[in-house]
Amino acid sequence: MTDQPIVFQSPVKRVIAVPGRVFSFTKRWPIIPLVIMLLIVFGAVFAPVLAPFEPQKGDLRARNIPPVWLDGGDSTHWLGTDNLGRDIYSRMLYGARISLFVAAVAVAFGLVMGTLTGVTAGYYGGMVDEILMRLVDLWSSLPFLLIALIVAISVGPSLGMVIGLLAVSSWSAGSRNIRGEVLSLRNREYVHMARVMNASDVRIILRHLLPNVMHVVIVITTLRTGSMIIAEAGLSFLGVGVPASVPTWGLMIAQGQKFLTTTWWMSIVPGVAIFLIVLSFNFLGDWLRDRFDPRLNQLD
Amino acid sequence: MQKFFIRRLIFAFLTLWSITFVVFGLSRMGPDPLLIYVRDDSYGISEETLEKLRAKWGLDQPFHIQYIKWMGAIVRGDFGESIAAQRPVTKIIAERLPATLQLAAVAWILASIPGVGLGVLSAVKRGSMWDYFTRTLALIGQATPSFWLAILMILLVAVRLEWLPPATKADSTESFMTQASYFVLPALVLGFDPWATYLRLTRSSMLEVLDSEFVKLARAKGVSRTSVIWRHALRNALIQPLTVSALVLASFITGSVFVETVFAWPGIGRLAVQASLDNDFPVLAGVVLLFGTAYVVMNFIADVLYAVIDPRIRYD
Repeated sequence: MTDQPIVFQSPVKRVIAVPGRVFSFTKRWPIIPLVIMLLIVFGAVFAPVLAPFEPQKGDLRARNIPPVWLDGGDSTHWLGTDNLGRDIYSRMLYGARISLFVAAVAVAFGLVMGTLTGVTAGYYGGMVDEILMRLVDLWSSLPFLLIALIVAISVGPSLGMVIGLLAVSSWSAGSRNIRGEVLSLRNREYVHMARVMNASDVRIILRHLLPNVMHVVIVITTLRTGSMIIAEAGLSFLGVGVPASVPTWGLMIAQGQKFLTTTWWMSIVPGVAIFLIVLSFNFLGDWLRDRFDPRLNQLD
Repeated sequence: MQKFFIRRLIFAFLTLWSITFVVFGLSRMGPDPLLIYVRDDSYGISEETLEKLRAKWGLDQPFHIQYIKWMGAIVRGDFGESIAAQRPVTKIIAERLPATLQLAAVAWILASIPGVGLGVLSAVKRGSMWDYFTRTLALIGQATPSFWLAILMILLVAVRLEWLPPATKADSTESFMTQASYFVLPALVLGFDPWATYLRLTRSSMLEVLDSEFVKLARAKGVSRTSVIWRHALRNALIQPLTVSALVLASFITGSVFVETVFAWPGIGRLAVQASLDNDFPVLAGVVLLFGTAYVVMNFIADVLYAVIDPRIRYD
């Protein structure tokens, strides 16, 4: 990520531009994204309690019921049913579990690995830095979607495979930013002082450097989560992700595609959910970035 | 510069080699390597036949021997024969490649010109309604999975409004307009994300340039506003979006897999997905290596372009 110079904006313009005020309000305090995220996380965690129907059990007499706000909608199935009469709301709740779980594990792995390599490369410099950064370069130039297609036929689709793939694909993303941050901290007074006081490398990294790069880590993690959710849904959509016996948002979109002329909400409802949660994560990430570190900001 | 170029070239080859290693290694990683050629629900095949098949594809040999043999064939341009179609992989890919390239070309035009244009507009009219509108659209683009956007477009434009055909590519015997109409939806979906990238980059580099001394000088000299924006500023602001073009084209690889699958486009992205569902390893490996090569080449071009434009990078 290249450093962008900060462009100063005249305060007068900001007051005049009304849409700007609305925009900057949501940026100042991301209530809407947080509420959406909390709702979806809540729904995922308590899916067995909240779901009115079994996600995989269909009732053929109740098939193709549209959502409640359309003609013919029924309040017992407020998001409608699919072509096999399965309740879409219940499937959405269970699907949220997969999406969030996969994204959380993959991002957590990426977070630990990315921080570890970034801090090590930045702190030690020299050969260590060179090797680790080349490795990061190499890793980010591997086409992971295509690699997923190969793993899907050799190992077979499974939840573990999807998590593993996304985890190993995600670690290199933040590594470079974290390294850059550590490079700038390494020669600060307090780090030199710590060294003079005979602090070990591990102690300097854990006590003095890590807390000061946490803001970068948090921003990158938030922004990565959205793309992980999309990636998981993409693999399920192609039929090479989580096995078809588990309801996932990507799979639901794929199943609905065949019925676009009749039961179109089968595809649209899960897509809206993905869109909302990814948008929320991106908004939150942007907001955190503006708060913590305007230098990371590429939009302005 | 020469040293930088050679270093990058070596790195590109190293990446390419690791892709072949990853492709081959992963294909032999499963519990039974025969799965990459035969679906595990193929009932009625006797154990004896399975053994024969293993021997036929050399699966009974040690890993490194298999890899060397496979690599040797690849280097000679022999990608083997498709399991499903019983034809050479290179022939199948050659038939399908033009459709993918055509779609990517159209998508690139649809992404770059409006992306750069709107980026300029949004920088010049910074803080206006128009600026917020385009930036919100770009933000929405980042949060929309391409395959879902594709379905949404089919539903709205093709099924509901019936303006455009829903899917596939027209026969080459059809009239130009008919053929073009089949391109619109897939190209728009494929180009949406790159469009947002162009918009963002043009906007930020345009803001930077508009703030620079030479633009102020041009204005002070009395050069017209249009000329300052389009002749002085844009020329300098275009550098960054241009260098990113190589990466944008690389992102079409992932994009084309989804877009071609949804639109039933007869290109190689869909071929890869089909091969994965058919357990057709030779075809899949062929497409992955082709895409991988394109990816590496595009990254290499982007790196070199950056270095040509910005000398600081060479001494990194």
